[in-house]
Amino acid sequence: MVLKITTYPFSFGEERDDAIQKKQFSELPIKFYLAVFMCLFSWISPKHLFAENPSANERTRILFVLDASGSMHSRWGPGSGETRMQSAKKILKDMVDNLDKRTDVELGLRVYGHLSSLMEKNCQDTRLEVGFTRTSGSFIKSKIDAINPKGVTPIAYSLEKAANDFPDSRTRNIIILMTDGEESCGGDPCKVANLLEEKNIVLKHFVIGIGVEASARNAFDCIGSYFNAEDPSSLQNILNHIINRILIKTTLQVDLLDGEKQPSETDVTMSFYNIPGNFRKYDFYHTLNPRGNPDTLFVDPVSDYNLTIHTIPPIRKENISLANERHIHIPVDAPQGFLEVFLKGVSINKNLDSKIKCIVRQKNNGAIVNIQDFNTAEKYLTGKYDLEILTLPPTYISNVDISQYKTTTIELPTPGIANVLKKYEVYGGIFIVKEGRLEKIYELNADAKNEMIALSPGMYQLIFRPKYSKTMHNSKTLEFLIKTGESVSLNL
Amino acid sequence: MNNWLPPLPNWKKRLATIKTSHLIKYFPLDFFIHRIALLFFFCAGNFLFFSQNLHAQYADEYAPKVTRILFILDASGSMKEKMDESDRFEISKKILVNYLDSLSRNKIKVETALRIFGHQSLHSAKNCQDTKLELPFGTHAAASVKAKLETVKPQGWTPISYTLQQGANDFPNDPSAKNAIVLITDGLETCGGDPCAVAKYFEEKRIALKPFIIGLGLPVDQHKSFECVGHYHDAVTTVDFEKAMSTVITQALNPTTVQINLLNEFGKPTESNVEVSLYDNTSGKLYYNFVHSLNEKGFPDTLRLDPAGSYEVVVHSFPPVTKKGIELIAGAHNIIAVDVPQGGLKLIETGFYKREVPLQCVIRQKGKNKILIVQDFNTERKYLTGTYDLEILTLPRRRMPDVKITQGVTKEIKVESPGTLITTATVTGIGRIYMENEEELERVYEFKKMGFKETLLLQPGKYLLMYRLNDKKSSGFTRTQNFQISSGITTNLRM
Repeated sequence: MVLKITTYPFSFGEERDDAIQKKQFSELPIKFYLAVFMCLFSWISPKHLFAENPSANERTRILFVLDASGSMHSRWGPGSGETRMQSAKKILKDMVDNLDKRTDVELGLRVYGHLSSLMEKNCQDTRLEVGFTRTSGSFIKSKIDAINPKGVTPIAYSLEKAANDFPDSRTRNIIILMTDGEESCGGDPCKVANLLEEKNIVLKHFVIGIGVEASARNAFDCIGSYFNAEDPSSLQNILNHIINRILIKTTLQVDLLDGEKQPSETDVTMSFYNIPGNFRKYDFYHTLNPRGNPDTLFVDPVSDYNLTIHTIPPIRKENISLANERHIHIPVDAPQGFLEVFLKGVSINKNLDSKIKCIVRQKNNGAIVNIQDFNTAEKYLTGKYDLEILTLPPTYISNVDISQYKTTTIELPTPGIANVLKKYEVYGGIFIVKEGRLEKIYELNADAKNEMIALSPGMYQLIFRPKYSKTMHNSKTLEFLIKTGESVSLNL
Repeated sequence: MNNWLPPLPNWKKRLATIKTSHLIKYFPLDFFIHRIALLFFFCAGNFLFFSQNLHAQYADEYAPKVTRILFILDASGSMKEKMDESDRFEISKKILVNYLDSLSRNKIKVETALRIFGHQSLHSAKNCQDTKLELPFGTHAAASVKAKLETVKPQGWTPISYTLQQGANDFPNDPSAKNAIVLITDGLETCGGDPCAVAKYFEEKRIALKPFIIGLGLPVDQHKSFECVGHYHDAVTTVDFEKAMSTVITQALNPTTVQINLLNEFGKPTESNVEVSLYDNTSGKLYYNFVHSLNEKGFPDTLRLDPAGSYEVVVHSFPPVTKKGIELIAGAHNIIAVDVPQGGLKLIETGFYKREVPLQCVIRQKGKNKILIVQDFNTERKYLTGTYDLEILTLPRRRMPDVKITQGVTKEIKVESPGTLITTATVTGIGRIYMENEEELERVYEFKKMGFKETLLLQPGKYLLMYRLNDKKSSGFTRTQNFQISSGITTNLRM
């Protein structure tokens, strides 16, 4: 292992400040207030999501991984005026100059292939030359001047090591890889790419090829897109592109389209899942601004996103890329309408009535999308739904149409109550007669003394037999009528 | 079948509705009047209840008032053929008279009638409507029957179908009676009728049980053609004939009993205490309802049934089991076996929190959308063995597919009792609660537009509250709050 800690200006003080800050805003008030002013101030301070300026409260750590293998000595470009290494150093310095001014950016430098000669074939020839601090820019500039390319190209191994260079996976972590060739140590950059993804490190849009041979270009396919500079002048464009991507604020708006394709739907939560890592990075309540347009969101343009709109059923929009866009619209079809379910009439037993729920299924795939309480209205995407209502017997209503801005109302009569009063314990059940055939809808509790059962209005039969009886000839049938909002006493 | 009686007089100011059983037709009217009077008396004793009072009625079994047997005697030309020492017709006459004599001497409550075919026209006349009810239903002395038979001379054709059809009308319209036909013949239909079709017609009209047929010296290959008509008994000799007659009369007179065995997975009749319905297999008419029971010895209870027609048994387990096309052997003890292998399902909410409204679980048979039943938590219920999908209506709801119920085993499903979330706020806005699962947010609750004051019962776990106040017009003011719910613990959130 060549890796050793040389200059590692890691600021513990700052990290600690950070931790205390977090504590002040989340943990401390809970314990403090709960303990002391429990009754008066038993509240938990919500974490405000200041999404307007993500870079302000989010640290960006950029690690430059520089190829210093022997081949970097080759001259390239028209007139072959400079070596690849010279070009790389130039662009690296430019980037450092651009980024170092920012207080929210920390830079680091890892170099490979510069410690051992090509003859030694040292495949562990990689070292973190400058660790992350806010002021490491000048260290990096002085360090790269001293680097002399000579060795092999252990890209995979270097990236693997680089993954551990980041002290915190919650910050915005970026690796900018500059190389002129493919892996020469038999490592698999694809595997490492997965590792980086797990650790929330972005490499995808930040691979810069410096005169990579045509035959070797496929090697980076698994990492994703990369910029290949054919000559020193094209490097400048790449540089601008990368700086933009990291530092320019890209904004977006999510247009929730109604049935007429107007972005008028709103007041729904949405979550942005970060790619890589697929962790939830932002939650927003969709809002229309005072002018009635979807308001502008600020998200980190470095990552790609999967977007989930938490409608019923939810809508997913995958692989939203913000590259090179100043303001993008994400149109999502989200036409919605209300479904209202309520019980008509006077309730005589609120507890029993509250057991009535409405299971809402999507018509096309049968999936249960919601279980709605009665006497409420909820918003659904427009379309056809099937309802199963947990009355006794269950009520099935299929092909319920939810349409844009409309409220579809399902009204059921308040159930009546059957008051089963038992002189002795019984076996038995409640039946309905459907086309001359009995269908059991409820089984009496053989151990319960009395039971109260909420039933939809209609005729029922109660078939029962005393529990102690050894003959079925003691079975009795009792037919009774249930009226909405009325109770019936059944004396067994 | 819904025979509603008028409500009690108004001065009682209480409604009491009593349904007379569909079995009414099997009982005399006075029996019912007595019973109804008794029920009214019971109702009167329950005036203290504010609501409708209802009383139950026994599900009585089948018990016929009177048995009627119609004898149909073949008097076609072939009956003159020799049998033992005499001829077929002479022997038939003798046996018939003997039996009628013994029935009346033993004071058995039975009414008999005699119809003869093929005796009025000559064979050459080919009269296919040659049939006559010689003696209508009544209690006939053997001597009068004998005298009637002496006048009959076998000579004509064999119109069996036509005779059976006519014979059906010989019975008085009396649903409380048990009806039987005994056909004594020596040959097949010669008039082109279809005896099978007639037998079916009988069954549908519930006129009689399948006729008993005593075949005199019929070739073996012809026995089969009578099988669809009814119970066939072959008699080659006089001894056979007497034996067949004895069997037939016994079956016609004896009660037909049925025992319904509800079999478990191992074929043992141990399942019980479940409601059973008996329907007519053809018309679908409901005859009996009862709750199955095992008697003192642990065997399924015995029920007397009208042996006419065929039955359909429905066992009201969850889900129900149906067995169709059950034919009974008249005058015998029949065992109907139905596979009802069951296991228990016990839903348990662990922890100390006691809900005011029980937690519900929607139970479906695997792969079926229809709700089988909604079972409350902290109860136990039996199900047929098999696989079920459960939907537990906790917040958030939990799906539990592929729950296997096995014979005799009670499967326990445990759910942790919820914690309480109390939200308070001095502000108004919109808000939602999500459960934080591994990858996705699971929608749990949406606050109503009015405000954030709620008390919710949530399952233990990690939650996320997202809300935005009404006066804030930017997504940037979305506030999020993580919180944890533990079983039985109350969590307060203030916004």
